[in-house]
Amino acid sequence: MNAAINTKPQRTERKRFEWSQAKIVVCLVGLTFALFSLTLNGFLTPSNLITLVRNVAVLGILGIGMTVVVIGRGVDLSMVPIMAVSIACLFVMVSSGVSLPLALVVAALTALLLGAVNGILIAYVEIPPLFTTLAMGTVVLGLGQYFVFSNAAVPAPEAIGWLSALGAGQIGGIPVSIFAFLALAILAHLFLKYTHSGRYLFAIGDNPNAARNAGVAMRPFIVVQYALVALLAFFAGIIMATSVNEMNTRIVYSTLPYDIILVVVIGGVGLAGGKGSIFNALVGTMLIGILANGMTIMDLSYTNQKLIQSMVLLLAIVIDGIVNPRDEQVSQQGDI
Amino acid sequence: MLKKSILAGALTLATLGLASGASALDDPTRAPYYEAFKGKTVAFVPIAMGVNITQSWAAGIKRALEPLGVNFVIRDGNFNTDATAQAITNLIDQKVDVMIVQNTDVQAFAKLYKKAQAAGIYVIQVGMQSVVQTDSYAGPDWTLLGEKMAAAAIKACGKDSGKSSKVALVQGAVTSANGIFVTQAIEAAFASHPEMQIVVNQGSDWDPSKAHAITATALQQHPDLCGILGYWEDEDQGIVAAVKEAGKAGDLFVLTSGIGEQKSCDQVKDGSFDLYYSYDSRTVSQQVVDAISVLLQTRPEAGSLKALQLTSLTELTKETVGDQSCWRQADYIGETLK
Repeated sequence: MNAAINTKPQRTERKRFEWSQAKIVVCLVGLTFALFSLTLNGFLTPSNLITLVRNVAVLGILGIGMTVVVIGRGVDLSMVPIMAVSIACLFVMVSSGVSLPLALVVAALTALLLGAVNGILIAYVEIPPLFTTLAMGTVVLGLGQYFVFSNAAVPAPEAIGWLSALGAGQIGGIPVSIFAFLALAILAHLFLKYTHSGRYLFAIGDNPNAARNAGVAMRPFIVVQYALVALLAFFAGIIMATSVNEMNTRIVYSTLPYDIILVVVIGGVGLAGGKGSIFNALVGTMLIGILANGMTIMDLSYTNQKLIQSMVLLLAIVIDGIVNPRDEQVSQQGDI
Repeated sequence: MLKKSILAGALTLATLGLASGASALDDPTRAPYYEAFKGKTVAFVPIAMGVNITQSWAAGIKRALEPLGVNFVIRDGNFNTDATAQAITNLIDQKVDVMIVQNTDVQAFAKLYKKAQAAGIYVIQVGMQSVVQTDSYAGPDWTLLGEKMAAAAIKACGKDSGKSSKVALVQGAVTSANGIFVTQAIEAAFASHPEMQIVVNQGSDWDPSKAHAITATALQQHPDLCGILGYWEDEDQGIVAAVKEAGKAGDLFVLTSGIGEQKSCDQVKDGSFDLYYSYDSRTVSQQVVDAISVLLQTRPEAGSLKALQLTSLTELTKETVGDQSCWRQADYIGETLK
C-alpha cells in the first residue's frame, strides 16, 4: 500500500546547498546588523552591543527552553506564568523572613512541580501540550494571585542580597545576565547534541511511536522535560526580576509568551517537532534584539516599530514558505 | 487663667445644653442623604485588579460606600478589552445604578457609555479619561501633568542649566490618556524652548523590563542625556535600575508620577527619583465617591451633568517629601477587598 503511494524517487544526494529558514534568518540578521552598523551612529559600539544582548537575555533563555520543548513536539505556553509566580513565591518568602537558600529551594521546587504537572497531563492524561500549558498558565497565575500575592508588582526584598547580582551585576563590564544566557545556551546545546536524552528528544519529536517502540521511556521523559523547562523559566525570572527590583506579574498578559514562540519559529525550529537546534533560538533572539535596539536608537514610534517588526517576521516566514514548500509529511502531521 | 477655664467650661455646658435641647428637632437633610445610597449598586470596572492603582481606588471607594448600604461590585477587566466591554454590557443589562470605568485607551467603550447612560446608568470614568465625556471623570489632568513635567525638565536641563538639554520620554501605553495627553503637553511646552530635545520617545507597555531596555539603550546612545521622564512609578522601576546599572545614579534628572504609594516616596528620599508627581489614590477614591454622592442625591438625567473632578498633583522632592506624603498598602488597602 505504502509502496504504491510512494512513487517518488528517493533522493540520495542532498549535499547541495539548501535554503533553510535558519539560514534565511541568519542572512536577515546579518543584513539588518550591517544596515544598522552603517547607518546608525553608535550602533556598532561594544557597549551598545552588550546592551543589545543584555536586553534580550531573558527572552533568549526562555527561547532556549521553548526550543527544547518544541523539538520534542510540544509547546509550553505556561513558562511565563510559572516564571512570574515562582519568583513571586521567592520574593514573598524572603520578605516574610525565610532564609534565602531555603526560599530558593522551595521556589525552585514549586516551579519544578508545576512543570511536572504539565508533563503528567501531557504524557499520562494525553492532553495536547498547547491546551495543557495554556490552561496551566491560567491556573498557575490564578493560584499565585489567590495564595501568594495580591498586587501584580511584587517588590524584590532587600534580603535577596547576592542574588540580585544575576540581574544587575557585572563581571568585567559585561552584565552577568549575558554570561548566564550564554552558559545556558551552551549547556542546552551540549544536552541536545551529546547526551542520550538529547537524542531521545529528537526521536520523540520526529516520531513518538517509533521512539517508544525503540525503547524510549517516553512518558517519564516528557514529565522531566517540562519540569526542567519550568526550572529554566524560574532561572530566567530571577534575572528578569532582579534587574528591575520587582517581579512584574503583569508580564503574563504581555506579548512575551508569544515572543518566545516567535523567537523559536523565526529561528527555524520546526513546530512539527524533531528539528532544530539551540543555534536557531539564538539567531531568532538576535533578530528580535537587533531590531528592537536599532529601532529604539532611530526612535521610531511605537506603532511603526510594531509594524516593522511584524513585517520582518512575516517576510522570514514567507521566504521560508517559498523556498521550503510544505511536503507531504508536514501536511500529514500538521503545523501548529 | 482660672477665669478663662471657668468661662470655657460654662460655654461648653451651654452648648451641650443647647444640643440636647435641640435633639427633638429633626435634621431634615439626613434621611434623604442615606436614602439616596441605600440599596444602590455601584460597579467598578478597572483595566485589571491586582494592580496597586486599582486596588487602592477600589479599597477607598468600597470603604466609603458600603457602610451607606451600597452594593459595591467589581468586574475585573483583567487586561482584556473584550472582556471589559463584555462586563460593561452585562452591567447595563443588570441596570446597575453607577458604573465606574477605567479606560484602556482614549477611544475605549464610547458606544457602551452612550448605551449605559441611555439606560439611566451614571458613568464615572476614573484615572484615565476617554474622548467621550460622561457624567464625571475623577483623576489627574494629564495635560497639566505633562506641562508640569516639561517645566521641570526645562528647569533641570534647559539652557540655563548648563546641561545637554536632551531628555528621554519613557511612556507606558501610547494610546492611553496618559500617553497621549502627557506627551502632547510636553511637546507643546518644548516648542517654545527650542533647545530642549526629545532624543528618545518610546512606549514600554507599562512593563519595567521594557522601560529598562529602552533606558539602557538611550543611555548608551546619548551618554550626555540630561533627563528621563517616566510615565508611571511602577514601570519606572526599570528606569531607576538601568540608570543605576549605568553608574549614572544622581547624575541624571529622573522624574516619575503615580498614585502616592510609600515605595515611591522612599525612592524620592533615596534619590532614585528627583521629582515625583503624586495624584494620590486617597484623593481619587474620595473624588469618585463625591461624584457618586452628588449624582445619587440630585438624580440628574444620566449623561447630563458632565462634571470633572480633577485630582491635584502633589510635587514631591527630597526636600518636600514627608511622612504623610504617601500611603502604605497595609494601611490603605489592607484587608478591605478580601
